[in-house]
Amino acid sequence: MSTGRKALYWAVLIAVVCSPVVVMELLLRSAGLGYPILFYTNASYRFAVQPNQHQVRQRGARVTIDSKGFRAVKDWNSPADGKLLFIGDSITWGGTYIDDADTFAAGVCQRLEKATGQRFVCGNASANQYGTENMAARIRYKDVDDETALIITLISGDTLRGLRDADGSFFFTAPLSGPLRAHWEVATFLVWRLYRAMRPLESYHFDHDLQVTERSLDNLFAAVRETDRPGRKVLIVLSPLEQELGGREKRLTRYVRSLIERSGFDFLDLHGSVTAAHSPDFYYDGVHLDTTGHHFYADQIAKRLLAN
Amino acid sequence: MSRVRKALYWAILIAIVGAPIILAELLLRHAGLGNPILFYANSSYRFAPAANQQQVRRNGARVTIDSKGFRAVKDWSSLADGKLLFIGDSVTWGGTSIDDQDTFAAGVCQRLAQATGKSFVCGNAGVNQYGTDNMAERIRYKNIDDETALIVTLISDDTLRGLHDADGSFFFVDPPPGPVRASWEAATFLVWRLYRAMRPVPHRPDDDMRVAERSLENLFAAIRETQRPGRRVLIVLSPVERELGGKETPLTHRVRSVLERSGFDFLDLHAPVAAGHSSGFYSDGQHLDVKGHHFYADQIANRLLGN
Repeated sequence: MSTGRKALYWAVLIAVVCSPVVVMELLLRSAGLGYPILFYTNASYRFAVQPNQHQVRQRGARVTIDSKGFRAVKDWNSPADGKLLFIGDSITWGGTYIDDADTFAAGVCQRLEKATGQRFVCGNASANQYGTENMAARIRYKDVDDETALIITLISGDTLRGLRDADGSFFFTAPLSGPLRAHWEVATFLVWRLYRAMRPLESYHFDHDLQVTERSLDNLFAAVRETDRPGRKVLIVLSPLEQELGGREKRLTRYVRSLIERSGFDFLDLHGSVTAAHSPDFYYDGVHLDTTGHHFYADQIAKRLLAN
Repeated sequence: MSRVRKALYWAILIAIVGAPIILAELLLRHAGLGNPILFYANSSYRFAPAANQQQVRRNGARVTIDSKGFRAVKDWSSLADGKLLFIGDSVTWGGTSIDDQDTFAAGVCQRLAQATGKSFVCGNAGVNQYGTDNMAERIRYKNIDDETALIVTLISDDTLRGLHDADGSFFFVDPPPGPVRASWEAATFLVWRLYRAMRPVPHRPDDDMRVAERSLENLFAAIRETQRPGRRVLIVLSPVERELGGKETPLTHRVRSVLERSGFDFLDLHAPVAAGHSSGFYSDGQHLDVKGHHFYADQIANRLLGN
């Protein structure tokens, strides 16, 4: 075979072998993969998103993290008449399939501005898998102290999550390198899922759940009180799961509700109002909200803040 | 091809394909894999070994978990003049390559029995990866309340582990499935390690000191909440090899000073280990080998005996 034919042979062979990988990489990137939102870990709240990031992820949703590490439309340092800090789990975080502007945290700011004519900044200091212990630590160790309102949103299951740490969670702390970064993200996700499948944690003892719930909420309330300042509003929001709507709350949810009611903090229980307003596109997956759900939560929270 | 030749062909093919798997399985089982110690998860201390197990693992080491979920030579329910409960991390747990008898928890009982002529039961509620918050919860939510002594052993880093969760830890809650259970155990371990390698997690140390202090306060609170007249409490600070000889990190200095101020009986092993250290003391610079366990047993027993 001549040198020219040999080179052509190898070029065709390499193209045949590589093209599916390249096509797949392009497909995965077009689906929003390859540039995940980056996190950091620490000893207190265990993990949170790194500041100063902007990515476009699934469904073309923009995910923007400001200079303080909050998901936000406007940076926390922007001049404003009011600054609202939202703490919560993945529901508040909104996922990377909901645009910044559609998260209920951002929606509350939009509604307050419209209603009052004043300027507001809303910082979303939430993260997937946060339990109430993570939230309490986030409140104690946050690096801002000028919020005019603190809004904590939780589901009853958050009170049993303990202090979730980075080891068992799926996120990245450094940008993915190399030309196959979308593949790397997918492969890492699959390995994470594979471990969970090979080693399921089905043997769960429920013995202490209610005691732990009470202790965990007491810790959250203590964190709120320790960081209290004159003029700061506090609102605790209890978010319902789809399966618990219509009066089907589990014992844990009823217990969490009663503890928050007794806490003395302003409390917004959304079970009744979501049951009344529920539609097929309200939830994304029965726990997390889709855009309709986010807008509804924004309405409810803004209404409560305006009333007080 | 005749049916006999076909059957022979398939038998040989299966043997060729299956032989390496069977061989690997036999080798892994010989190394002690396939029947891991089983754990359960919960909402308070997050995870702990399930009760009533015994396995022989690496180096032929016996690992026995009693009816209360404690690693022990004698069941916690046995009649005894004194019952010592050990809480700690993997250093206390001892790993599955150290025999029950050789763990320092069991060693303390042997030494106390020999010195006093009385009978003792020692329950080891140490678990791999426990942080001080896990220990505090284990103390609050333990399922016994008749211990005559509580011995908490920690390294300074435990104070930064938070309430370590089952999700990111390597253990099984059910036996690995099927005839290739040792291969399953090994494969699961490799997948766990692979995830950690593909997604490393660097740590931001900004609030370490405050968290260490808060975490220790939580531990002290748990001890006080469960205190009963007559129960002794001893907190042991275990050194890591690289910090011996005055090379303690600022975190270790801070943890030591908080423990000293706690009001609890406190045994700092940095100096004695620096003096008594020799090869074969540590298995990996942090966890103890048999020699280290025996040394810890001597030190703790001496302290409890008031020597």
